[in-house]
Amino acid sequence: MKDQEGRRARWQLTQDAFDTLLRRLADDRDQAGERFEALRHNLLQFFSYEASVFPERWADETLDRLAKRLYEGAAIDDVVAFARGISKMVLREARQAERRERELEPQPRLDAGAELERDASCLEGCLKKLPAEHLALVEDYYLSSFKASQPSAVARKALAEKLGVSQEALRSRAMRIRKQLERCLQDCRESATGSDMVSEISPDRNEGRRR
Amino acid sequence: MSPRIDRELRMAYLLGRMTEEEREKIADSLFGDPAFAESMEETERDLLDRYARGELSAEDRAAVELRLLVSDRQKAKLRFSAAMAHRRGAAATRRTTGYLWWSTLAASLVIAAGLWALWPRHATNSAPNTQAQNRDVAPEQSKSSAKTPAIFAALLSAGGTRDAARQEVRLPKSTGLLRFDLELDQAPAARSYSVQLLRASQLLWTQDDVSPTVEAGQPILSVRVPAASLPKGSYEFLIRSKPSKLPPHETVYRFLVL
Repeated sequence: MKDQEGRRARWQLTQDAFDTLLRRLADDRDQAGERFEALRHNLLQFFSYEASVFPERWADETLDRLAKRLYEGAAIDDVVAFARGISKMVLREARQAERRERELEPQPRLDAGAELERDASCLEGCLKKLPAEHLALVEDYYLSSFKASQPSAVARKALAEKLGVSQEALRSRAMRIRKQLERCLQDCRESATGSDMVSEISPDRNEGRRR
Repeated sequence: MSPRIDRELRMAYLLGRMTEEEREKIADSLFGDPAFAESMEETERDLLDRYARGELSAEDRAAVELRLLVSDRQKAKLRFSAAMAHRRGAAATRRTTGYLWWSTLAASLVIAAGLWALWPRHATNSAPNTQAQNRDVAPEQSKSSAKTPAIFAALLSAGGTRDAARQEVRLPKSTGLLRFDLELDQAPAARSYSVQLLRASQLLWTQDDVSPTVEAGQPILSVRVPAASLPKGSYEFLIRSKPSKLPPHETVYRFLVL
């Protein structure tokens, strides 16, 4: 971990370097922002699936190194593919750095009953904030349609046919709503208790919190 | 790679059951194919949902814990799955018996979870040893893990049997620590417990102020005991609720080390 901290200390991401990265992702600033968030999301997925303890840290480390190389004028044709290459190197470093921390990682200490009750209460509040059609879709896609006698794939295919959309479109829609709910639940957990603890669900809420 | 990579392949990736070369190809697709990345997310959520509902085998549960429940980010996803599972359980309960939601959920999770598990808890990023389940632990350890004592985990029910079978634990020689998850039979009223490990009424090990945790909706007490304290023989854990408004409560967990 000291190596990582040392590297960060030697080079800090600057606004110019970040702007360079955005320009390389797209000419249009808004589009560049979307592509940046998509790339960061892919990195978070990658490091999470590689059992990293700190996926955010390594995703940002990858992006910092990418921005640095671009800012220094490296000839890079495919920015995303280059980021993917960097992520492999960062993963090797992450595995080494995290090994000791994982060995020493304490078990989470949760108050069993209260914890789940609070989450369930938060979820109920989050679901109530959903538009009716989104709520119905979540119910059908994640709650009612998943039965032991009917595999989820079959139930979801039937649901897509019923709604007259492709399975891919249905999956995207359901996942988008689910992520909103996950964020809402997380915000609710972090906020004070009480009837006001459920935050508003914004369909446009961006998952990324960087910068 | 095609976005139509089948579900089994995505599961194998998420559970760490493929070679490094295969993993790289799949990971490349995460970056190059948005539809594939999304289908991977769906498979991930389905796995977490099934974990929360106790529908995975002991082998798959262990793999999910090792691969997908390492970071806070992932644990937050599981909390959502658990809340969804509760909602589903509560709805079913309202339709049937009217029991409190947590008792129904806990019971369904315990029944479906495979009931008895012993799995390796390597602190490395290597794929989990999938042979380790049902009280037997595969003896082989990787070279890297040979340097570090391995951590294994065992789930114990109160009393001396589990599904009418003796609770047995087989320890490979490489075991450094053994994590015992002691199932609590209901949502714990006490905030902490004292845990004693006894052999023939002789106190071998003790830990105070152990707080209950939740694994897939099941309240447990989780303690780590040095394997050196566990030669072959009969043992029992005795847990006592710490002073609270309720009367003190004791529970015994008997097991054999083979």
